Amino acid sequence: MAKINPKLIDVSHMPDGMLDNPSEYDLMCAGAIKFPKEYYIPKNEWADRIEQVDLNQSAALDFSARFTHQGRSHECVHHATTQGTECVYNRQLGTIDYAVYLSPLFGYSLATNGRERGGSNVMDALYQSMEVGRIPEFDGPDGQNTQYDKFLHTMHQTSGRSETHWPKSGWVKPRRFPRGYEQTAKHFKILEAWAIPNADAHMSALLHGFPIINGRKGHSICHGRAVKDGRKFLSMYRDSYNRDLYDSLKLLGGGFCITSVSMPDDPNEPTGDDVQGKKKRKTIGSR
Amino acid sequence: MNKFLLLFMLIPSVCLANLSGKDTYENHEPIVLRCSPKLTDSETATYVWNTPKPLRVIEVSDNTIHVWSPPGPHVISVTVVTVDWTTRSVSVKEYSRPFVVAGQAPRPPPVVDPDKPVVVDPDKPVDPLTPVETDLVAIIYESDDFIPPPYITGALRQLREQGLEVRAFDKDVTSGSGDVPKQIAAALTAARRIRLPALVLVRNGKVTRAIRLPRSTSAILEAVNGKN
Repeated sequence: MAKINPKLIDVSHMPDGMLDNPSEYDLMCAGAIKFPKEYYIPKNEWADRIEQVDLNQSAALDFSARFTHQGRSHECVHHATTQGTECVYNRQLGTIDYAVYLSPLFGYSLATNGRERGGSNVMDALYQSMEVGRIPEFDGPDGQNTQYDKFLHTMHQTSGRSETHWPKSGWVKPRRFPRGYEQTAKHFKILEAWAIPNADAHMSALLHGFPIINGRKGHSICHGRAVKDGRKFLSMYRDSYNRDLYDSLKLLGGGFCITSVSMPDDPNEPTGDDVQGKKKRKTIGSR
Repeated sequence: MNKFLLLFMLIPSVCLANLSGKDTYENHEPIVLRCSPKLTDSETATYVWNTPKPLRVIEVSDNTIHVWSPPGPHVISVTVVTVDWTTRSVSVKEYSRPFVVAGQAPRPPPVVDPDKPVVVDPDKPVDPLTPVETDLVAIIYESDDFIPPPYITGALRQLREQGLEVRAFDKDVTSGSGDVPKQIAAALTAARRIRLPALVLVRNGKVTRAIRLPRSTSAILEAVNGKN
């Protein structure tokens, strides 16, 4: 692999939405389980494993269908959680052909109960994703507004961005959520997650193909690939500003990895009977 | 003398007993058999019906039965135990009636049990020369014991490129409704019958092959496509 630009490693972030790092115990209270000790991969195997993962394209980010952009919002935790949920959803279906784009704004607004600024916590994102799930956003893999007609409840991606087809004033409080959004959200739940106690567990989870949601210095990110750069091992993450960056081992540890999410009866109809056309359309905000 | 007289009186009463019915019944025609021995006031009779399979009967009274029978020749018999309470004597006699039910039995539809997969002994390699038809390839595991290594993802990618549906999931996965996802329900049932992790091939919702997970990309491809 070509040498990675040092400017992309251990990038400092401005605090933009992640509150305190939850402890392993906090995450277990939210629904994660302890990282199984038998799944630790010894460091002397990492290089070989990375080779195998790259050869078979089995990293979590190999199942990522897109970037997200949080703009100037404080939704980073939910952009990261959404990215991770989508990766595992696609992995279970063995392809990104059935990708569904979920709305980070939905999760953030629900977690903060309508507080727009100030950020949220990784623990809350996990709990909410296991308890409620997520609803899709308007836009999908097929383009602008393509998921609007496909699902019963949809929402825009973020309150922090102002592309022409997204609302300029996009903040939505939970009380403005359409009635019955749980009906759609339940199809996109996290079913199983493991707490990540340290850097070794972090790298091991990546080598097993699981995305990790954690954060540092006030910014939350979704890690998805283990990388060897010269003699150093790095964790590649999909930042919620349309870019891939890298963290070295000293910044790793904490957060959770997603190992299993809800699987649809038929990936062509991810929410089964809960689709547009069969029931009255319900959506949020202007498109 | 008295004993001889009693025997003489008893035998005719049993011999006159009649197992009534027709010799031939049309298909779906009610079959009613009645045993009617001539009994004196001091006699009582007990009837024990002998109905060989596949006949089924309902006794509507002591001496009358309704019979359910498939087409073909059959024989029903009855054992009549008669007691004369005056002379305190007992006689036992068996009567039989052959009859035929006309017509042909409907041919039962083939029974396909989706819960009964083709299970291959994990210690015996799959015959690679025998590809099976499939439209979905599922890798099923228990995450407490096993996480699919990279080669499985590589194999599934190749199978996906062939146009097959592929799935890799923990055995406890559910759909949004909390149930087992319908497309993989049969595969999951088959996988549970063998030791996980398992490779299960499905065609039109029916399991066509369920085996222990092969240990290389090429072995997975051979289990699906046969040996090239």
